[in-house]
Amino acid sequence: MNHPTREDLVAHLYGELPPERQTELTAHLGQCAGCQQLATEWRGTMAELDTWQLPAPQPRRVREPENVGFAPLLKWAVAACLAIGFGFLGGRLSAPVPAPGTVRAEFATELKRFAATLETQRTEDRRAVTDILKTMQSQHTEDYASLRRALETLAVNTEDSFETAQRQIVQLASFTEPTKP
Amino acid sequence: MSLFSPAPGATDEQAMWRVQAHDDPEAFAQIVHRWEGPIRNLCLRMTADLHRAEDLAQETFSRLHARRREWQPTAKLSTYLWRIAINLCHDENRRRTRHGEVPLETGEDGEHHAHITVFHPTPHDELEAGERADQVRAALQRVTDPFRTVLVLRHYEGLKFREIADVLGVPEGTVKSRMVEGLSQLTRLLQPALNDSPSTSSAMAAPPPAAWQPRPQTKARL
Repeated sequence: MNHPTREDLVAHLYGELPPERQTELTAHLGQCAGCQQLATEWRGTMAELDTWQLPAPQPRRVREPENVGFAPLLKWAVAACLAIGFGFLGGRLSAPVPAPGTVRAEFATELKRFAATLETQRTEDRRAVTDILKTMQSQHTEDYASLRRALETLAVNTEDSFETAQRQIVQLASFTEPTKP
Repeated sequence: MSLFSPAPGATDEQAMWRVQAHDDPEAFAQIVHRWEGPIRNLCLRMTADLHRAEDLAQETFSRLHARRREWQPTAKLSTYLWRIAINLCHDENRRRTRHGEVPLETGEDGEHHAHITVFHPTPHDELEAGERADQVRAALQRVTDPFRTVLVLRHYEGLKFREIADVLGVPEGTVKSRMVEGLSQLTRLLQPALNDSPSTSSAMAAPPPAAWQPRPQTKARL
């Protein structure tokens, strides 16, 4: 009698053998007490394994879509904007409407005041620019005078040097070598 | 929802492609929504600690996002996710083994159950605990890590042996061998409970003729 391998037996118990082999093994177990006993032991162990049931998984909080998470904030923001808008609109509508002549006079006064301020500002700017130009002019004049003095000094010195050199040349030309005794 | 948001029926791979190419947060949220349950359950089965399982599940998705460029679009996202989670669970279990602690998950009543140690099992305490589920949970934590991984992925998460082989990067035959070893270890660990349990005794006396019926799939739709 050819006994099945223990690997075949375990595959048989888990129903992983081909159908014809499964049938053969079933027939063999009906005839072989040794294989039958081993199969029975393993079936008992497999039944014991089934007694360990896992606890039910903890209920998970369903994650809300991201945009829904901001919905309450968005609602409050819209409500605040509407309240501010209505308040502004109500204030504008409830304010007394001024007469056109008064508005024009007020506007003209404001315009004149603005023009005066602008003119004052321009006068101050012009004065500042003039002062700067005057300062630059005087500085330029001083620089010119200083340069002129320096050039005159240089010219005088150069003339003196020329005269000295001329005298020395004349002396050198009139020099005669003394005769030897 | 933006113009280029993933369709609700997009596959995991399509959503992950959007995450990879466009850093699409909605696509990533879709992946997390589909997979957080299965990944959390896996971590809980592997660590038997509810809070650590939740941390590990969170870390799994953080790591998935951090390594989104490494994911190959030709590969199944589920395989990539399972692999990240399994590696994190292994790291966590190694760390706890070094510290000699095996915390148990918080019970349904919100109280912590008594802790047992890996290397100093207390059968008396286990028997006193009374509930078979606690015994199974404690026994499963004592199954060696590679075998427990295969047990959890096959039995609880409903992955086929071929899929487990892809996740772990080992041949399918190796996965079956680990399953055999895992079942054998677990059977030895649960033997006292199996002998004492009337329902199991009757099951062993008259085994069901049909093969094991798969649990309802906890996997997210691919």
